[in-house]
Amino acid sequence: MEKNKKTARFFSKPLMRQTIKSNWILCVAIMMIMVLLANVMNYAMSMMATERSDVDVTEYQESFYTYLGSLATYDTMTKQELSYQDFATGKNDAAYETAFAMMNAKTNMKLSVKGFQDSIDGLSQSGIRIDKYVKQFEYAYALKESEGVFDKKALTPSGMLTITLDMMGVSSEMVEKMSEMDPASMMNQMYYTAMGLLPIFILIVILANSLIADQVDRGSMAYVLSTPTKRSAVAITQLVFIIVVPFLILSVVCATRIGTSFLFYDKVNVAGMLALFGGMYILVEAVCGLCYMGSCLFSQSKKSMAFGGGLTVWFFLASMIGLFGSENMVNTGMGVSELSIFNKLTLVGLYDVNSLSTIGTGSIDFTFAWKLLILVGIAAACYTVGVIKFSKKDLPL
Amino acid sequence: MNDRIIKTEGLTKDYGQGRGIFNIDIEVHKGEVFGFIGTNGSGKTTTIRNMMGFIKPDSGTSVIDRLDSWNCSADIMRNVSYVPGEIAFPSLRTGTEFLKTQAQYLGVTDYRYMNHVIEVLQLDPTANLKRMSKGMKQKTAIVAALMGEKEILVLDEPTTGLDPLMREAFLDLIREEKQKGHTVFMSSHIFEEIEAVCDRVAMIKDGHIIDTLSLHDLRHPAVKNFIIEFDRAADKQQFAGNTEFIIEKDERNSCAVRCNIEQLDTLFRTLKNYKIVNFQEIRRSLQEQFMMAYKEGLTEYGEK
Repeated sequence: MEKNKKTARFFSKPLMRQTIKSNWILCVAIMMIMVLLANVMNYAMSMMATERSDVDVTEYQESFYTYLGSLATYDTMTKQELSYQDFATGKNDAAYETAFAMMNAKTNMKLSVKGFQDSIDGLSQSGIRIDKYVKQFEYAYALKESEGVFDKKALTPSGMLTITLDMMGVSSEMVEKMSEMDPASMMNQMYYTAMGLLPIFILIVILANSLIADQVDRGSMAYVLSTPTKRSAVAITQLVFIIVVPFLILSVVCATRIGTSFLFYDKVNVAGMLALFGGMYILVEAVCGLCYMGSCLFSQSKKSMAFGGGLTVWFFLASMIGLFGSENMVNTGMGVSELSIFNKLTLVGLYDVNSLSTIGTGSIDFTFAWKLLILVGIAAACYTVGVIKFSKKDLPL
Repeated sequence: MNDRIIKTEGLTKDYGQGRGIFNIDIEVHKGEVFGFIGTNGSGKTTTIRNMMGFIKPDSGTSVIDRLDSWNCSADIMRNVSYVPGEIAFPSLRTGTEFLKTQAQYLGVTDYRYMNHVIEVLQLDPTANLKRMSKGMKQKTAIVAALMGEKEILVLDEPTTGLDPLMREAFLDLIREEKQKGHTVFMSSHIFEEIEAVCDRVAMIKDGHIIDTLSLHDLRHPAVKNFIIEFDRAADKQQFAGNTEFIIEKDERNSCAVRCNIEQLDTLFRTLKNYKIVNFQEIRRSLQEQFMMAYKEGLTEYGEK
């Protein structure tokens, strides 16, 4: 006679084992997808960052143009054909030395082959090809001191560009904003509030449903509850599973992302990234809490799925639409600021990516704190309601 | 009396529109095999769910082993095993895996009895749980319930899906349980199997208990009925004319006689004087008993 088996009141190890056995494949699959997504995204962002460097090259540009200007003057004066192209081959340094010496004598400047080379090296940090600077110089040089036939105002290449864009119907203001736009922050927002959330949202909707409602609906819960296992033990065991699994998955994703960041970037804001994933975890738990509550409330799998899945899909979609109302998207001309109202209609809106990413930088914006606290509150409330409701309701087993 | 293992008093769960169970009073004594019989949808499963503490009764109580079903369901389960009416297993791969998990829940470490049950039922537990046939699933569920060797067994239609041979093997297992002094509560709509193993039977119809009877009384009735056929009509007339027995059906050559057990000897002595061509006892089966009670129930509670 097995009388010594104690009644499980708060936690049931066999149930945990069973839950892990029946769900680990799905969890691992979702984790792989998330790891892949995070790191491919990271790679893409690092490529973007190298293409558009933030290094300030204005000084080098000025000096480079000075050299090009003097070369142009020298060429017209002496009927020679010195140019950047020619200089870059490096075969004709002596000719340039003479040219610069002559220009120095004439204009009291301090030009030298070394100085030219320095300006070229400095300018190449910008990531834009030197050829393009040369071409821009050519336009500027050709338009030098020319003025409009009618209004007698100076003509400049940038003025021409603005007019051309206006004619094409593209607001020059927008072009300006676009150049100011921070693609990294936009990609971050897209990843953390939309793309990165989708796989884990799918996971928690399925998990929350299969842990309680589905087992009640199918009747397999009877095998657990006909053993000395209290309902509260069942509810709490499944609760622990659904709290731990997203944590583990996000930890792995976060760890690999930090790891690959060290590969792709020289400087990594580890604290900021931890904060972003921490915030994401809290958001996921809040949504998870709602799904879990639905699972405990309804005895029919389809109702629980409709509740949890419906809310989650809404949160996701609203957050996607809200993305088109974000400052970054509006600046690129792809969004309308009115759409940002959708951010207030979704729990994802309480996950403040922009203020969270200030962690680890000089000026921390603490607005994320109260938003995350609300999410924590929602999660806690939903879990509590779920456990209590499940312990008290009629089960069709 | 302390040997009442299961006791329900006025147990009511109203689902509306006449569905549910109403004022169920059942008493199951220690060591008894109690049958619970009724048509589909008559409230058997609802009663069992109440007893197992899965649903909360609207009124009335259900007590198992002196513990309230709803409030102490987990504690009750230390002494109770349950075979659900609807078999749906957790999403595990094989039967073995499922049985092992179940053993962990129950704290079973000695697999001898489990293996014995598996052998008796000729179950191959290594099969894939999802591909099991209905009968195999049923067997697996029975093994999962029996392996705990609990003192109380609650079985909701445990023989559905079993072939006649397996049904017999299962009934042997129930007899074994009875011999160990365990209490068994089983629901069924198959009269033969209830008749074969049960000590007492409750009949339920539309949520009301319509009759509770002891099968001992049914098997060994105090009053027996016989049909006696005489060779000659004159003999019959003579027998019917001067006898103390109650003659029920009177035909040309034969008659039906009702007699108490004590009078049996007298009856045979009397009959020795006649030439008898046929002598047959009319036995009342459980099914007939049920049909009779069912018809009475119809008049009592009315058509739905």
